Amino acid sequence: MSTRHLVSSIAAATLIFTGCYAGDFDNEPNYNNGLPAGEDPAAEDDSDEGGDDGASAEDIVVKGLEDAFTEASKEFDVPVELLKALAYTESHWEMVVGEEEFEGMPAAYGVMGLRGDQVRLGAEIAQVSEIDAKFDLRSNIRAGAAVLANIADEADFDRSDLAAWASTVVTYSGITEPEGQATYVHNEVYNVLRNGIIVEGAEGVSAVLDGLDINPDFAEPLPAPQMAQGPDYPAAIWRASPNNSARPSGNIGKPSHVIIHTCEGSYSGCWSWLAQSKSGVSAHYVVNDTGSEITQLVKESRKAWHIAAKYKSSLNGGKDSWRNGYSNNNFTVGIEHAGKSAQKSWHSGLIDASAKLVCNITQDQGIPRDKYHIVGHGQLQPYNRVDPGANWPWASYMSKIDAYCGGKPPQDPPPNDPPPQDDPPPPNDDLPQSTIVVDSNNNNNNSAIAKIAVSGNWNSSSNVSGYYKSGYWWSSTEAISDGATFSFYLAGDATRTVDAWWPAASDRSTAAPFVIFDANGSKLGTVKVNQKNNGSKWVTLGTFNFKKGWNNVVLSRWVSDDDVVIADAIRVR
Amino acid sequence: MNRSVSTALLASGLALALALACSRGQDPQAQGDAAAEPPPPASPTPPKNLDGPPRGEDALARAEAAGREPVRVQLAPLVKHQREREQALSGVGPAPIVADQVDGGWIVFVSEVSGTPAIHRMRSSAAEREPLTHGELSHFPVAPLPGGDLLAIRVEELAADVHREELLRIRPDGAHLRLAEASGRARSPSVAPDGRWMVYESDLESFRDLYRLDLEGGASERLTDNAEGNFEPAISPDGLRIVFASSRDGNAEIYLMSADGSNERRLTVDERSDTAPSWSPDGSRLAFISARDGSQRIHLLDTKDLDDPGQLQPRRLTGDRDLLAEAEVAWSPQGDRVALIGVGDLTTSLWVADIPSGNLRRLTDDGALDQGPCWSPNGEHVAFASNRDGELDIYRVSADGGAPTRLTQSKGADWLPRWIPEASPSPAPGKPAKNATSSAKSARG
Repeated sequence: MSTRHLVSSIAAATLIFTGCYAGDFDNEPNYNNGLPAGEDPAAEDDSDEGGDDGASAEDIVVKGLEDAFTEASKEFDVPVELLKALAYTESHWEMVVGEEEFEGMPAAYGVMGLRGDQVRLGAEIAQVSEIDAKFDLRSNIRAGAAVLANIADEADFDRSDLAAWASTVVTYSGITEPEGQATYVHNEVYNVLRNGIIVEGAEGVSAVLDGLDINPDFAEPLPAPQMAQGPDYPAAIWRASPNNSARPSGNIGKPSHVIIHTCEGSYSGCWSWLAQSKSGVSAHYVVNDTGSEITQLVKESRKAWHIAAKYKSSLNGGKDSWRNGYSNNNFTVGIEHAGKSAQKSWHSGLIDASAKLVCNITQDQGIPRDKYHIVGHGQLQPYNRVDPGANWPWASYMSKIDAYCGGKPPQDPPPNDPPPQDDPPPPNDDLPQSTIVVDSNNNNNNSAIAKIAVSGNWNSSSNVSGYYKSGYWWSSTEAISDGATFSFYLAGDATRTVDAWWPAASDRSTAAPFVIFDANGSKLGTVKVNQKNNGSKWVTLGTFNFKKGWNNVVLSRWVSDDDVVIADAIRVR
Repeated sequence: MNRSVSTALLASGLALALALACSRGQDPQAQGDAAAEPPPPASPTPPKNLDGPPRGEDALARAEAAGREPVRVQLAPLVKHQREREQALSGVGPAPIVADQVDGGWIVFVSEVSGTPAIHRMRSSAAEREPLTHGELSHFPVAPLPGGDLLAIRVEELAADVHREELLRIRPDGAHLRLAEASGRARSPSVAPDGRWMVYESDLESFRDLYRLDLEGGASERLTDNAEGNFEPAISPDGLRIVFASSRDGNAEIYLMSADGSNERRLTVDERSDTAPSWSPDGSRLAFISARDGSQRIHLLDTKDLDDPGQLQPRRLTGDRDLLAEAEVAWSPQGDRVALIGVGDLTTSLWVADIPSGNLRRLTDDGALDQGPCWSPNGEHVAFASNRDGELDIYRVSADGGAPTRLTQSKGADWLPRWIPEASPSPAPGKPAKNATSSAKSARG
């Protein structure tokens, strides 16, 4: 158990409890919780009470996942390791709903990345509805395993031999181009098998697949040194696509835009699809999911067919111009990224590699590095919320492009003291001097710089766990300020960020008003926080311009609801 | 109930009982430490059945020793997916929306309930919701026009490679009137304070340039001509000047020109991009987003210095060091603060900053993506879109903070809110609505 579990008294009590009763459970060592997520309302309650951001739900999801993979593995006689690695390759284990990025390539669904006919087939064999095969985690894994088993049935091999599954995996992927098949097997699925999978949650990390020494029974891809370099970007591998044409002459054909796309699938599946003539689509580049490899398919000086491939100039009186929105391909450089627009996070390596590539493109083509010239595919709409997806980190992406081209550091210096949210409150001694914590108990405060004052209408308590250090003050809301005053001393005028900590519970006010004053008594702002939620962590109230002397943060009781407000601790940094 | 969950529940109950027992009859402030300190683990290795799969630290060490680099799965998206799916399967929809009316006017927004982005409107209580556009074409709201009309952008995609945008006037009776020739991009319109003209960006004849459109006569005039493009115009509150962004000097900078396009001047000089300029309601300040310090942050210029380039020093508004970037600036009607979106790691949240102090206060903290803030006409509330409950929906929150109130929960995303004041019953003198639209062509379907 990670040390983080020792934080909450719930976890502490669990240890005490198991100390007495662990023996009872030894006969049933499985992770089966019935469903892959916190279906049991009690589980939800538990996480809410603990105020620990649903960590319990996370545990249950991990266990449920493990169970779902194991169950599907047994039912369809497909190695569980293979299911996990294939699912990671297809979706990074996200239950994403894909989009149809390229015409002729159906959208992929769920952790197993089921596409088109696979959904119907998998649902039929696994005897689930197609809706469940797409959107239900357990059904999706079972349907994926069923499709794999169906493919394997056509071949004759030892199903317990992981290496022998390579051809089946290739058929599952739908990739037909031999080099793409080889890289999909060796560099993606079996690479995951070799290295293992770690799950990261708020509670820490869990191993869900230990790496295995295994070499697939499949032709090796060409070794990297034998691959040709990209003609415009030597760090890329050159895999020429026939799907390109000349840019028109004049301004219209001058590359002026970089368009960011998502593959809606795996890297090998993406570039091999774009590299074959029958697909009729292409992009200039494809970046893999970790940024460790980039494929160049079309020279930047040529037109790639990445935006609406089936251009018909007849629709525009034979004109090939940007007028009326026709053929953005003429003046754009297109980059595809392995993954799906619906996914929640992008590997930092992918963002880095893509930013470096974009910097190079803008330098070579003289494209301004700003949000008007580096845009997402979806930004072809006047307002958009898709492709490369709501979660594409535009801010840091643009900063990194700037940094690669300009050498300036991409970010402000990090703040002084970002302790992990779920860690135990560190003692004051460990904090940098610029950080002041004002606790609800003056025994914990350095009286030279921090103090709290409350009236007799405030009650001391430690009933709800998750408070900072020792206990907290509570008071009923009333049409009276009578606030709890957290005071801190600054040796000079300074801009400081204030965070607050409270143990959350259902009887708390949804609008507990923290009023911030500087040392001159000037009100700097009011911040109302919902103390039913976000408990047991530092919640930022804001950044304020304080004065030399004793500045105050007052938690007022003046709220119209019939609840309580909690004065536990504030942090000034 | 399954075993480990029941164990956890029992255990938490025990923890509470333990804490209560420890504090009973004693000063809890003094006793709290004892209750909060975790007792030592009962054994060095926890029982495996209670803790699911092996924790990762051992595996990481083993992998490192074996020279392996395990791939990493982020669990949060799956947890979120499962919660959403359980809610959907439970058959119990979200509780009916209960909201009081906190200000007049209409919240106009994009609704995708039909599968196509359409413009809907509702009161701040979520009442009286109705669609303003129908059919196959996408519509996006922009700003109010005189006479209770609404300026909107309509998108036509008639074929796979045809994308055309056009500016549209939507009349209170539902009639749609096209305002200008459609182009691939017709964006970022800014309406003059007197409602008689507007300026917008279009790719009608170039990559992107600014056009001035006479809303009364219908005439259109091109104001800029640069191959690298001109973007995001904003007309000053006195109607005399236009601030905009242009990439003409190699990257995006802020420029100023007179309302007729003359007297172009560059206001910013930095190798990193300066974008999205906006005027304070009284015209005394310009806000824009600059990446000059390495991350995108709100910067201010005092407009009294506009004619004295030596004095023109952009300064950062907030003192924040934690956010990755600041985005989507929205001025309050009084101009005493701005709402903004703070960009964090995998989340975006709503904040308010005072003008000119830059004192910055947080309004939302939900681990979701919050976007598109806009102010209520009285400046006391902010409407925004958030995916905190799954799909994007419209919420509003007091500008002082507190729990946000959900205003939409229909199927499909609801987003891009614009809170527009109640229209004055009759058009302002001197610009009757009839003239304003007579020259506009009737829109199709």
